[in-house]
Amino acid sequence: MDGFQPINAKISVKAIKINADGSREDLGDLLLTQSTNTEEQKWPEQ
Amino acid sequence: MAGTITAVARYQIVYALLQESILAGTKPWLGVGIGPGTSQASDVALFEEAIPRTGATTIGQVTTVTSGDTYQWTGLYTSPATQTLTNLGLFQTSQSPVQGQLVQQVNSNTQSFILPTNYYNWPTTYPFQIQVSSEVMTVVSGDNYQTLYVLRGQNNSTALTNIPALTWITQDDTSMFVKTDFTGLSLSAGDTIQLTLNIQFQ
Repeated sequence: MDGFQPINAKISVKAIKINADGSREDLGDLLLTQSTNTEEQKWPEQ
Repeated sequence: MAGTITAVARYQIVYALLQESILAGTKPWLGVGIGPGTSQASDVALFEEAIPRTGATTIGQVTTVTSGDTYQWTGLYTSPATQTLTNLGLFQTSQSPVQGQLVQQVNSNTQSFILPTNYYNWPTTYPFQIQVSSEVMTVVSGDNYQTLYVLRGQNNSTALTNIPALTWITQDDTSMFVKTDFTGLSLSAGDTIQLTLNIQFQ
């Protein structure tokens, strides 16, 4: 035991896309839900 | 036997991060990157940062598990171009870093020079650090023409045995305090996203 204790951090990045008409799309957590096309992907509700 | 920081320390770490901005009279900026790579604690820059950086709307201290254990950054990012975001980070400064690409590949983990595409864009005050793929290098001098001389495997990173030509080189601005990568978020020019970053210390 050397007493070494790393500091852990849990990171989340929640994203909401704001469209030109003011409507909003919940993109979820970028670290959990991934997409290569935000036009077609359906994102899970958070 | 066990040793740990306590919940009080988690609170104090978040408080100290906030105070750095409050004392400077600023809020951290978000930088986004469009290059490949996996974030490591040794990183000093994003993978191919896309300009410009975005200011925070709010920053704060919130509770996820223990009191005040989470640093929260919120802001709006408007994409200036069609691009796929692959990584992002928070910085205490707004100025985008100097960047270039390798003219030729790095052939060994002991090679002590690199050739950037844009030599004359780089600082001539040494030393400074750069991120090249997952490796951090310290630039110690230049030849006033095309070559930067470097120390390899800096900041506890691993010196790579091969780094392909055209890999991006990004200058360290010493202020990035969190970085994360993801598979990709495609945005069109003009798209706006509202981002909420939570950094929960555990």
